[in-house]
Amino acid sequence: MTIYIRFLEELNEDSLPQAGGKGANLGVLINAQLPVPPGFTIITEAYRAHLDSSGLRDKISQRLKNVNAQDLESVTIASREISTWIEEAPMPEEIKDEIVNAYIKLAERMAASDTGTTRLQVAVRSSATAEDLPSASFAGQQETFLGVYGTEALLQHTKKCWASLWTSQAVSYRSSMNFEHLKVELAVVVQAMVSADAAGVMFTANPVSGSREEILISASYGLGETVVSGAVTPDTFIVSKKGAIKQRILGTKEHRILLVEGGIKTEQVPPVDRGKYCLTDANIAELVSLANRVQAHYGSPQDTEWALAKGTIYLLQARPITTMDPVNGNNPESLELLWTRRGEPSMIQDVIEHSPEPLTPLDMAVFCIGDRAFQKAALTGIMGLSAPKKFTK
Amino acid sequence: MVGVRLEQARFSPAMFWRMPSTLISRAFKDPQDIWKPVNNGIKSYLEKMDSMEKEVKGAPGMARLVQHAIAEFEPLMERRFSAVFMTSIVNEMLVNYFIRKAVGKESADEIKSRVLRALPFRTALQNQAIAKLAQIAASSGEESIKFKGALKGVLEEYGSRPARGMIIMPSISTLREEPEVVLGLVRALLDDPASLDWEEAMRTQETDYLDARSKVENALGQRARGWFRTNLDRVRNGEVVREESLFMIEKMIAYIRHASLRLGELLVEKSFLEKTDDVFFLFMSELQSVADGTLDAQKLVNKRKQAFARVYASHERGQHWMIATSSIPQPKQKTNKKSRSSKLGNGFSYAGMSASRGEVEGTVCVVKGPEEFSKLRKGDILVAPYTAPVWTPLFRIAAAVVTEIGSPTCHAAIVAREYGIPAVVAVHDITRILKDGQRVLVDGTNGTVSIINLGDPN
Repeated sequence: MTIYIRFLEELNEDSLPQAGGKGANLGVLINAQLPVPPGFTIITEAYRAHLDSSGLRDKISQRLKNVNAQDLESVTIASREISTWIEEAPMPEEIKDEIVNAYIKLAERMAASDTGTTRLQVAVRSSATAEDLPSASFAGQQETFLGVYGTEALLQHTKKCWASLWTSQAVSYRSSMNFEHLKVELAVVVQAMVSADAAGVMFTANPVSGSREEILISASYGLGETVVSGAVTPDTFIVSKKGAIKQRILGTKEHRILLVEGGIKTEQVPPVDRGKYCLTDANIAELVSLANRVQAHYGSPQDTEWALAKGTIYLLQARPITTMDPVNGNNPESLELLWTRRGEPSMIQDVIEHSPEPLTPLDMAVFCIGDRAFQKAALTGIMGLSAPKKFTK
Repeated sequence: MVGVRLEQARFSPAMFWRMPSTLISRAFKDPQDIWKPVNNGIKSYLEKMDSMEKEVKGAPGMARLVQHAIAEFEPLMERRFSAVFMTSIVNEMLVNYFIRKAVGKESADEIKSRVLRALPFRTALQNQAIAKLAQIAASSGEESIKFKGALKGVLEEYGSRPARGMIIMPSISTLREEPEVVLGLVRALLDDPASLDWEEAMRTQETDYLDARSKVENALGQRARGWFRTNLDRVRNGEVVREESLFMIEKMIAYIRHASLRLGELLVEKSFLEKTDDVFFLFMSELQSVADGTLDAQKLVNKRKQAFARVYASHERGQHWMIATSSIPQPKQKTNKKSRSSKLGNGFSYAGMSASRGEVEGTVCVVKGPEEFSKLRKGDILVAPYTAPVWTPLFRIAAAVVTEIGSPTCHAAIVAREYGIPAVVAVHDITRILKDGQRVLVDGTNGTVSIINLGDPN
């Protein structure tokens, strides 16, 4: 039994205080036999022990006494110092050993699996215990490092994740919210990376139309980060839960991030590939079956991240869709969709600016009257067009 | 995207003579003279409505007044469009011609934008008033009697303007009802002491304008110079009048809002409605029967509010609601979609439409609505879903403006050109793509926004 490490299989929804939200959630998914890449969590005890062993805890609380939370500069300087201390302090040997052992075990598992990976690269992410706070992201607990290879790099990036608790935004945020700085803790998730040929996001319901019979898939080449951050326009697929592809929209997919030896690299996608969809019908069918399994497990529509590597689909994350209507999806689907905002003519845009917000019925009455006045005065009066057959009331 | 399509006017042979003859007769009139009688008409509308309201007793009478106010609004809107639509088009063509003749093709665009600066239009005056207010806040504080008095003055003058969006929507509250929006602007301006010196800013604009103007005048012969002057003045007046007419429409809409809310109150008193502003969820044809007590409104209103909430939620997610009147010709957009990504190495570039020329690099500040006005810091790139007159004081401290909705003729564009800051409009989804703190390059000339540095995601 390790003290500071929990493999994802050992985690469940009750692990949040130790493993953070991200870690606990991955534990739930992997225990539901969903195809999640294996990994482990360096739990909050490790962060605590790191601070204690090097005497950092006292040093930090002393340092914080001299910080004026109102003065951004003093916060920035303190934040930089504290982050440096955390990154430079030697990690306690027992934690180091456990992390290295876990990494080796993970590498062995990956090598034995059908991916046959010999050089194990991992994603190192912070996993906050305060994720149930709506503003947790603002508290600065969002660090992610991709393509980390080797034990030295892993140890260094673990410390970097810990240090991410002390960005100036996080410090001033906690001060303004009267959180106790040293009570906020952090776990680190280390997960094997699959060398994705394509990846993206999948909603197990269509959040745009509100339909629960549809699945919405966004996909682009390489790692999914490009899609998640909105840095490329991905391919979009709308698929029925039964697997019929209802709509395909070709994305421009300008760039891709690839996993290469020693890290990641960003490159342009060759024009030939940009003109093609990055998923085959068989890939989509497999994603649909994954969507159905994930939704069946949670019982509600989920927002998932996935990756496709050597023909196998992996699930990287799942969380509930927050913008879904509680009632059965009946968003204004019945209303005609006139156009999307892409490349609309400029004159039309002028008109939207006159009503950039949705109109209520009484607004509509006034708008229609304004429009009628415009038609009469400008178009028939000045431009000499003939009047419309009937004016809409 | 949810839309409603309205019936449209059709082609007729009359347009071959009516449009040219209107254009030519317009060319010889000053827009101010065409506008003045309409302005008076709107003033007497407002007075008449006020005095009629004093006579009204009870909900049925109030419902009649609301309908009357909306009905009387129509002929004034017609007169407004007649006065403002296509005015000074010929004058503008002449001005363009003279500028090209005087300074050559290359610098014509730049000179053109400069001779249209320092326009004393309504939004500029309002922004001056708000800058003055910020000056008082800086010297005497927001709690001072002086500040409160000045705020009251601004709200009296500009209180009919909508706090969000633009005109035509009586359901939107006005600045008078939401003085916090003005306070938000004041706080944003306080971040940049230089912006408080509006007189200085005005002087710079004025010099810039006069300088460009005399450059053209000096290069022209005496007769051409006279023509240029008259036509430029008409173009400038045309812009001022267009803006002033919007301001007057806003006053009428504010009255319709006021009367509707009065009706709402009366309906709540009678327990016909639960809340005053539920009245905006009734159709005009239902107002009378609800006020008379012959139509049970609350059920209808609740159902519509539910539907509205869903539409609103998708609006917030970026699926904007719009009305396609189809009444306006739709030219293909001319944008230069040249991607700069190759130039910037690993940066990502997004194309929109060029709305105000110039190139600037800065830090992103996404402002989704009036409640976030005070977030903006001096030199930030203002990234917004759209902008309306109430936003424009922010342009004084922003280094550039990027919007999701808009066209080169929209408000953001006009005011950005007035203040001489680059603007790119109609960039798809940009408020979601860009994050606060990222460094971007805004190229107003080519209409692109490029991420230079992904920044700290926090």
